[in-house]
Amino acid sequence: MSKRILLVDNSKQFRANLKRFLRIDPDLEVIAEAQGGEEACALADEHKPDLVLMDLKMGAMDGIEATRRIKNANPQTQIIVLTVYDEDLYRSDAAAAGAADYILKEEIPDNLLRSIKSILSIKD
Amino acid sequence: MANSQESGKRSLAIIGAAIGLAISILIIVYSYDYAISADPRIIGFWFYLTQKPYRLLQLSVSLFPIGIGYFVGKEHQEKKSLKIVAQENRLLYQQTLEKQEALDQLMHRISRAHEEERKRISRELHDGIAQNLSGIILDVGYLKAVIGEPEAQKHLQELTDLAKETVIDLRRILNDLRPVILDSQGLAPTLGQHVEKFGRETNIEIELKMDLAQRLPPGMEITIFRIVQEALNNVKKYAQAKAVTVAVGLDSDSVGVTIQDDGQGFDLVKGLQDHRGFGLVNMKDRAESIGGTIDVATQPGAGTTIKVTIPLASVGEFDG
Ligand SMILES: Nc1ncnc2c1ncn2[C@@H]1O[C@H](COP(=O)(O)OP(=O)(O)OP(=O)(O)O)[C@@H](O)[C@H]1O
Ligand SMILES: [Mg+2]
Repeated sequence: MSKRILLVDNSKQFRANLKRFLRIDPDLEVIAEAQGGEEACALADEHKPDLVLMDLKMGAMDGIEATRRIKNANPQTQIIVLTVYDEDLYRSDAAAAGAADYILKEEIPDNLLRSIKSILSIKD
Repeated sequence: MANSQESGKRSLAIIGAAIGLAISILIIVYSYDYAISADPRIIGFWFYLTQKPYRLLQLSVSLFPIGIGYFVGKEHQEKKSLKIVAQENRLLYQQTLEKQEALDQLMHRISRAHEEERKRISRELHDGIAQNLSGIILDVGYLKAVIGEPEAQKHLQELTDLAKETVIDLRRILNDLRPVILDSQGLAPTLGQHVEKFGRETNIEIELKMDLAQRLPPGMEITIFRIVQEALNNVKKYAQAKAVTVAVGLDSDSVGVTIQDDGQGFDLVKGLQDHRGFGLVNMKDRAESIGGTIDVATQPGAGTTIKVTIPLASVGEFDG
């Protein structure tokens, strides 16, 4: 059964790139996209995705806060943070908020698919 | 200006001399008049002086008022021109103060604008360029997965490596421009990170004492961070210190920041003069740009302590 994914990133361009990349694994299906934290929480409540790919963009509501809220409302949903920020502090904050992994955007081709598999199959 | 003053000086002396001359004439006229009409005993002496051998003496006594008039006039003129000079000096001094104040204001505006510009550039680099590069890396990753041909694979991998390197370079630039975590996490973790890096890169023992529970206004946070950064740079470069302490504390109405090292110290006047560095001057500008003050206590052999005090109510519109 394919895994249902919610993409959260303020850049439409990046979401398109990511979506295309995820086509490599036919088991993955992007079911919704959000531009920011608020929208992500609402869509997560609505769709109950298996996985959220979360940007850390520091906006009105940042990715860490959105991660915390989604995990609180939907504990079964897994969250992976994708970000340009290589900061230990963000890593630990993301982990504390309930994110299962923290991947730098330039490392996505090397690490994301493997990470998704291990995180979601642990759940299975 | 100087010319008119010179001729003015002479003119008053000449007026003085003229008055003196008039008095002299009056004296001569009246003395003769008197000699003819008044009590002979009183004018006897004067008459005696009018005798031939004393004519010269009498004349010079009579002309004496001319000289006095001349000198009094000159003196008066000099006093007057001194007064003018003093007045001009006062004006110049006032103008210099005003210019200095305007210059200070300008420096403060520049230092704030500089910081705001860095913030803007870093945001654009992050939101635009880093984001797009990541997108390119993703697309190349996708192509690598769907194109089997080994030659193409090789090129796509090279492309990925290049783009990755660029992202890493960009990340370094972003952090140099402005510490990434300052805005989201605040001054304490940012200084913590900086101090930790300093300890790793030098052999100097460093301690951070943060007595600050709350976030400060953004302009204040970046200013304090820059001052500490600059001060620690100097410690690393010159102090030959064994230990350095960075302390940030909150009073009822001000924030105090102290950077104290136990190194070799320096001659402050010389350090500011014959070295063409900007560090100390920048620290002062930054502190003052948000209404604060800076005090550098150092002497050769006695370590260096930099203390910055910033009133809490002073940042104004600067949002760092
Ligand atoms: N903590 C310190 N211990 C010993 N000497 C110091 C210390 N801080 C500053 N100095 C001396 O003061 C001089 C002026 O410092 P300043 O930071 O203004 O300029 P700089 O470091 O030489 O140049 P820049 O900061 O522009 O790179 C230094 O050259 C150094 O000799
Ligand atoms: Mg310096």
